[in-house]
Amino acid sequence: MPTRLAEYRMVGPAGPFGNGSRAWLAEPPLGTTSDSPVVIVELDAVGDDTWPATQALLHELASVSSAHVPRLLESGRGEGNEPATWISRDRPAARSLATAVGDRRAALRVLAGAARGAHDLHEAGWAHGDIRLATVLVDAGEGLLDLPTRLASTVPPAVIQVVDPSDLDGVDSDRLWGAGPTRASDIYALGAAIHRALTGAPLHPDLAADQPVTAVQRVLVEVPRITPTFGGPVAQLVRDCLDPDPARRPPSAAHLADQLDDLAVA
Amino acid sequence: MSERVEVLIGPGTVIRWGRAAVWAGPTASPALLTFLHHSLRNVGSSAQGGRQVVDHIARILSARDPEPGVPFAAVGPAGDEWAAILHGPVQLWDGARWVAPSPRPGWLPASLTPQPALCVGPAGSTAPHVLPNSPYDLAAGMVPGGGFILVPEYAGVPRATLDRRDPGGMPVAPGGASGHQDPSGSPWEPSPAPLAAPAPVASPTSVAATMPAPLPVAAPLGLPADPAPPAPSEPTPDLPTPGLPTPGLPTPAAPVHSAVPVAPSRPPLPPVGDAGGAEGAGRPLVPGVRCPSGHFNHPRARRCARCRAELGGAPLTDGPRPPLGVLIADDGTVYRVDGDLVIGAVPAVDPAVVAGQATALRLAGASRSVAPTHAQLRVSDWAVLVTDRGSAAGTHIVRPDQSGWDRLPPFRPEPLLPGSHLAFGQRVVTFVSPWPADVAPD
Repeated sequence: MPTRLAEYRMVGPAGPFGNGSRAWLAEPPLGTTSDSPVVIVELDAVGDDTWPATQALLHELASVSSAHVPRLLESGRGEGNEPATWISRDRPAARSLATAVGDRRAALRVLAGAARGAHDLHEAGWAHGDIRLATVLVDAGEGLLDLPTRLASTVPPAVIQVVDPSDLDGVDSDRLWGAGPTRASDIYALGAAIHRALTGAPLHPDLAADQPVTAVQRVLVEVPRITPTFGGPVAQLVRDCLDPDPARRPPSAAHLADQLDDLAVA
Repeated sequence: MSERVEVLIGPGTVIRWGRAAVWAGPTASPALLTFLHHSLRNVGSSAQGGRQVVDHIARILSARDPEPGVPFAAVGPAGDEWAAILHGPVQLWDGARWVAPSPRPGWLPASLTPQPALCVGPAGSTAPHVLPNSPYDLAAGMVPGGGFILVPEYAGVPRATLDRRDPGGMPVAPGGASGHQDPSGSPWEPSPAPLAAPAPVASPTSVAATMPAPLPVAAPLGLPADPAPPAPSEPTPDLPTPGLPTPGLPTPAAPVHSAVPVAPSRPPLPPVGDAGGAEGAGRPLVPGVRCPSGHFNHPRARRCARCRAELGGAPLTDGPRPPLGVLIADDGTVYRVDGDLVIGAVPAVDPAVVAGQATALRLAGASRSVAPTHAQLRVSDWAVLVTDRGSAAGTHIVRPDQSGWDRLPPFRPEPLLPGSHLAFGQRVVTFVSPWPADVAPD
């Protein structure tokens, strides 16, 4: 772990988080008005040729203001043992839903918060494109949606990077066929995250971790499999989110969030 | 860039990156020095680097002064003039006037025109000796020093001008640190507000909102260009310069970072179910059929690729061409095929990419078996064609109805059918598509 990075002094490891392979807690840089630590997240390495486009995306992303999305503070590139590409963000106490333990109601509330974060991004002109349990964050029981940092490292013509085939669970066929992320594809991914959080099962089981090409080809043609024992109104909501026709999915992520909140108190 | 930053002997630290320079007194903390060093390294080479650094620091100081009373000063270019910020007991002489902060607020931003140089050092310091063509010329980096003289390169102004103007050395500020006077004698009160209009502060922890943004830096910064060569009439003394950087040092792979500026917001995304939406904007029109939900499909498709609705009997119409499929690389990266692509290890150098007529598809981590511009994919209506660009290792293909690799003849377009595998050197990609195989017209 580097002891310093730009104006940050590293405090210790952070996470686990969904984006990036490494994350650290760091003291705020000199001169900032807050004493709260920040999180430094290492992103997928970005080449010199794509760095300007990546940084332009990050600059735009910094303008998004939402109570359900961490705020992007800085971005940069390092050398030596420093992260090759990194961002800093707030909400240092947030943890991924993939590692957080909670009951069903708590999970629904957290997922509702993440859906509101997705809606805020949509209204700000962003589709997240990487919603999964690892990017749904829990901060003091409140749900957040982590920053869509993979957008920044997936510069066209790249659509997605399959780091782990289980990541494909929340990728609808439109995206795998080359379309960009949309409201509908984010809602699909939220449906997959709800399914995974409440059942523990993926929609596309048995994808080989060492065969990403085969995994993509399978997901392109397979119908997502909802766990047979998963029933009730939540399961129906998941089915709505996964509808092959994007027009038949919930009309917005905010609408989905309202339904999740209702189910959490039912 | 041919400015000189001549380091003065004395306590403290001098930092230079690109065209910007900083002096900090001996009481500056390591954190402050690191901050100043990184700030200069980020934007020092920019034509507005001085303005960015000054605004950056001013915004920080306007929120909270982390180290009150610690002397430091930063100077850098701001277009045709120079920007500076002075903090604590420091002084700056621009050849015509003195600049120094008042005790309150204790710091001062300024715009300057060197006449012909800028002299920076601690308030009330004794006059240093200015050497003609000083060997203490800092090219880049951070060294001990008690101040500096920044000598911009002016066309037609010989370097000796500085030495003739100030043969005795650096002047001493009248009134020391707390006073400031210009030649007319009128007081120059420092503005408590930064020079740039502050952006809205969205949250108390928002660096993006509290720190002005340096310009994005696209590539690691290297050393600035070599200092200006000495005038023929003034041969550079062959003096040793122990411990000081010299021209010609290897370029360091400097990290870059920047506070993320707040950019104008985007319009909201199209609503769910918007069949055309922004996806169709700018795409070429091709003949095809629409499903009952309005999704545009290949004219020979039997079912809609998006909603799986039957397409039998749908009338032929023109519509924006959707992506024709994807290339799945052996590392799991999925690339869309919706226009011409240049594939290779350094595809960005291809003229078609530079001209915006094709998109670069860089095979990351490619070995030398992948040529800089190895192959090209061209899209024509609903067909995809692949052309080897004369690469040494060749482009090989396994077509869906074959089991072995064929080497493509160079520079001859070949139809790329769904299910085909392509090998570019040691990298393999697979083309898959929701549409029926199509072959472009000759």
